[in-house]
Amino acid sequence: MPHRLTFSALLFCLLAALPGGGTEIGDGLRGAAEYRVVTADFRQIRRLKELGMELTIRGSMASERNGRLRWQVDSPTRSVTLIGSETLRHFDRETGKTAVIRKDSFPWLRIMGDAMNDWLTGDPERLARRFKVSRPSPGTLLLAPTDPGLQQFCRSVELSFSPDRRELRKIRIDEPSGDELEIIFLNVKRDPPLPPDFWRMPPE
Amino acid sequence: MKRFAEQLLRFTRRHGPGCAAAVILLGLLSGAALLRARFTNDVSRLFPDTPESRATFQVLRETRLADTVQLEFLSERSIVRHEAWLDRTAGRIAAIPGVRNVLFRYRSGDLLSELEDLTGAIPRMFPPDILRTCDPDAAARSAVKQLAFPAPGGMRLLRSQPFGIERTLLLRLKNLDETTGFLTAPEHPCFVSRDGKRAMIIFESGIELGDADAVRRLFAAVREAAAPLPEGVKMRIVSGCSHTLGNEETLKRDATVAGSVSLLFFLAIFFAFYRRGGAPDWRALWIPAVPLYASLLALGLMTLFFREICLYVIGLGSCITGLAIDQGIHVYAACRGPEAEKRVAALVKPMTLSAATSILVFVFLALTGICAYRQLAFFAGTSLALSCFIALALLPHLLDRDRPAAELPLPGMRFRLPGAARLLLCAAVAAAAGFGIRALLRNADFSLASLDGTPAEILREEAEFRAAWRKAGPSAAVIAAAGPTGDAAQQRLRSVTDRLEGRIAVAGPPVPPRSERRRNRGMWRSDPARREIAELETRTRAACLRAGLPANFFDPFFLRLRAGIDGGGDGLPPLLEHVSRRMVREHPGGASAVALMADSPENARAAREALRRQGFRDCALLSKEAFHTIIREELGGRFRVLFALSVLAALLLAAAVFRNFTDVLRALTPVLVSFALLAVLGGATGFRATPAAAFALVLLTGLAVDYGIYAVCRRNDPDMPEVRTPVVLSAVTTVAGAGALLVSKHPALFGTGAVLAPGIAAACLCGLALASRPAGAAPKGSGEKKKPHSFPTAALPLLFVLLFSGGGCAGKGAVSPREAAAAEEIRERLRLYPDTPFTVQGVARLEAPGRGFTFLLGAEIDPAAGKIRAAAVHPGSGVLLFRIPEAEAGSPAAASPPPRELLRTARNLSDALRRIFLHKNPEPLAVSQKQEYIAVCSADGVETRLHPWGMERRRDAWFSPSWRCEYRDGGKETVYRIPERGVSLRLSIRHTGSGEKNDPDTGLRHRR
Repeated sequence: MPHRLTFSALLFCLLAALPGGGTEIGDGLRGAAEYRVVTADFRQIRRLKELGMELTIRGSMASERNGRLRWQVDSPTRSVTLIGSETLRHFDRETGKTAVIRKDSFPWLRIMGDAMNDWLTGDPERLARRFKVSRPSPGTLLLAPTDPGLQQFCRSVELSFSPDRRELRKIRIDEPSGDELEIIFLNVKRDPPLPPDFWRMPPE
Repeated sequence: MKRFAEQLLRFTRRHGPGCAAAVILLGLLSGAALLRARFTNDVSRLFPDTPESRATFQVLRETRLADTVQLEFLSERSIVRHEAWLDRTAGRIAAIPGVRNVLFRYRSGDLLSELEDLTGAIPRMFPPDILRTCDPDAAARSAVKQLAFPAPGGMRLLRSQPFGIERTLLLRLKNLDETTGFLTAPEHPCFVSRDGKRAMIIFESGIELGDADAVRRLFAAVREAAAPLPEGVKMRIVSGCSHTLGNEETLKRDATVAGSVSLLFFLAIFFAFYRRGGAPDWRALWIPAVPLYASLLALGLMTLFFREICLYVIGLGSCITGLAIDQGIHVYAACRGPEAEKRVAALVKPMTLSAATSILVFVFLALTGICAYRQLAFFAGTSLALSCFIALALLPHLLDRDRPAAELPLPGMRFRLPGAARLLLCAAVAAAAGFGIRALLRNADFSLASLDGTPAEILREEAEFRAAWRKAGPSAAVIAAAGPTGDAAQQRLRSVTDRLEGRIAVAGPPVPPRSERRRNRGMWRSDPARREIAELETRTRAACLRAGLPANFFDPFFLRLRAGIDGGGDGLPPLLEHVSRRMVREHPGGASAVALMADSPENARAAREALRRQGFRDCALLSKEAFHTIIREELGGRFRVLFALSVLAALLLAAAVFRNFTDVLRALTPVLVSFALLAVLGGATGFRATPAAAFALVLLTGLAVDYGIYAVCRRNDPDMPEVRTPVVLSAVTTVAGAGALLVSKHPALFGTGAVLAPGIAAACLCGLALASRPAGAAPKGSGEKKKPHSFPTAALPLLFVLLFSGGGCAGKGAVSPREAAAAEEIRERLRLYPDTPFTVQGVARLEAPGRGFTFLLGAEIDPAAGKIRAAAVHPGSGVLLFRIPEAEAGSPAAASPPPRELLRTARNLSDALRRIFLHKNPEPLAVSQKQEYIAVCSADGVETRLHPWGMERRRDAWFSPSWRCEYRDGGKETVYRIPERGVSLRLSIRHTGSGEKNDPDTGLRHRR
């Protein structure tokens, strides 16, 4: 169960971090609505305050518009996670095992799913139902969760967009424990050619 | 006998005042005893006293599982805004005397902290051996992988639970969650439904099973505690206690209605027939007074032998009174002029014989071992015997002898048929009866609901409650154990669940008994265990460094573990506390423990076997399936024996008195005729035979034979008065008494009335026909030789058909469709379509004799609302052919006009689609193994049969148009047929447009 909880939080974060996912956020942060799939490399930095520890993870991701999301970690561990509307599949390259979690078997996914939808739509009214939205600087949105369920996992979420406001470049999550999670997206591409078995699980 | 009766009459005439005083004194004593009597509507009294049913109800009573009350609060808007009010209400309810374990808020609200708390509980939940399963290197590697996830908030948990020991506890909770199918909104730490519009407070009431007064007081107190409700909020009480209350109200209402109707009928007869010189003969009022008084005496006597009297018996009392009135009616008819005593004495033979047959049948009922029937047997037997005695000994002195006897203008009912025609008629009746019996057996309902008179409103509310708070699928069955303490109960429960381990999935209490928890912690406090912890800590630190983590990464785990070992409290983490309290209950006078499993026939069979091996010692299986099996096996099995015995007893008694084969058969003819009529009527109307109806059939044997006895006595005894008028009048009173039960809402009383009313009417008509002496024929006693009558002999085939056709009524040979080999297949088929709104598009092919017509069918189906909208389009021209439900059919612009059959089918297509797509919840119906299909019957009476060649659906009543629907190719193709019209409709369902989800199993796309 703790691992499922982790997975659910993962889902929450991953889908929040879609580089091209926004359509219109707040007062004019515009994303590109015209794409089928977007890919990017990422660098994820986790800072554990109590232990004074910083861990950097590298990998790549791909996201279909209104569809699946593929999250691949290459370093320091190797895994691929595929998230659909009904299930989350996680393949551990080191053990060769695949874990499958159904959304309906883990109700906390619903909370995360609702938050995810709010973010994806970029609808200010929907965002305002779960987050207090502010704009500390141009190209940056600060979301403070108002939902008690979300408050257990994050204190605030900061989204940073590209200068043309078409791409999400960075996401930073402040946790209630003081820990931080930062994900930086690099090499963002829209509708790149993908191998036919790209979405296959377990991957080749 | 006649001489004895005459002497008795002379004695009572001489000692009239003394006899009257004795009877009045007995009445007063009975009345006083009744004032102190206790009445109950406990459903357990309707079950046989076998080890299993005894244990079941004893455990149900001792564990007090049925006393749980759920208060549901409903709001049009979010109920969460009333959370504070609900907290206060829960507090007020907890203050009600007798109420325990009130639960609304079951978590603190901080899930991560609650999960972390599980680590501190390890030393009580497991022995130290569990440490040997810990692999520090694997834990460190796993931690690094989880850190790689971009997941906020999980770090605390990762550090305090490296080895996943706590997962065992969480898996137990998950199993419980899945078994109960309980649905709550997880984001709320209290009971709030997924839609956020319902909240629930649960508590234990401590009310004993069947104590309706206590339930009434409790419900009033609860309503007072919850008042005033916030604006827009409604409260509903859902509890087994509501069944107690509902049953009592139903029974009281039914008894009142049945008694009143019976009384009204008698008064109507009284004013119509018992008149003298145009004025009512008031002395005739003694006729109903005699059985009523005898009933009073019998009830008073009952209090000496039974601690509590079943209200069910009182409900049937009106019927018994109706039977005993017959005796007074016969005495009234005989008690005329100077020869009155001689004429009354001539009645002693038929009256005592008919009373004896009825009493014997009641005695057989007592042998079923069912408490309610034992009481009924005592009450009815005593009442009939006393009534018979008073009617013979005292009633003649209370009646007016000078009034001429009124005779009904009854037509002659003698008819003669040629021998071959008689045989043919009997064979036809026997065939129809045999067919009817098979239909009756097919429709038999031996479920718990057949004994439950809870009003429909309460059942509807319960169904709504289940739909809102539970997942679809089988409900949970409970294995319960009782004991003096929680530990003892839990140990007993384990002795059963251990036998089931590895065979079926059973979810027991998530925490071990208290004694085991203390023992575990004691072991953790030993020096070897502490050394083992220290060693593990050292190895874990090293593993962390090897994996690139700080050495102290997992320190929170060891800190919490040691705190749990050294702590003194026995409190459980919040996540386990409320579940544990509900599964292991301690209450004044004892405790109980329960384990849960899916309520399937396989599970029930395995659990009953384990319980049987354990000897049903303070353990029982409580579930619908278990009750269904008990009723089917215990009641169904007994019924056959009882039925055969009652017919045999009537036969032997008649043989002992008449000593003539023809007379014996003649006396039994009304029984056979009434059985045949009931079989035909029951089969034709689709009547659901219940246990009460089955036992009423036994009762009918004893009653119907009376009419044959009077008829035979009348034919044979020259002193016997004319019986046709009293027979009709007594039948009318009996039918009125039994017929009044037809307005009963309690299924047990209704079933009894449904059998007795038409059965007695048929027996009466048959008795009248038999009692009519043929023209020129003389009674046997007159010395003239009479040609033996062949009609009763011809009835023999009927007797055999009735006794032996389809004798497998819900007995051990019957098999539930859910137990059949293809049960899973039928369930899968019924689960074919989703519960959420979806659309289908298909090519429909209508085939009529000699021609076919193809059209495109699109339908929008909303299973929750039970709504279907559909439209049919001509594939070539695109012209709209018809729409449903508007049913706008027929467009002349179609290139090829649809056949009339299509237009007719279109009008019914909505109904057909409803059955195809919305039929999901099969209700089990016992079917014979001899038949080559499995049948399930839906609530709306549609029967589904699974044949080797496919699935067939049809209505289950006679003479109604049948239709059937076959699924092929995993539901992609559905063929709908109306065989009577030679029409079939083939639906080839294909995918619909985008934005919809594809179901890989069926190829259907359905909209979410």
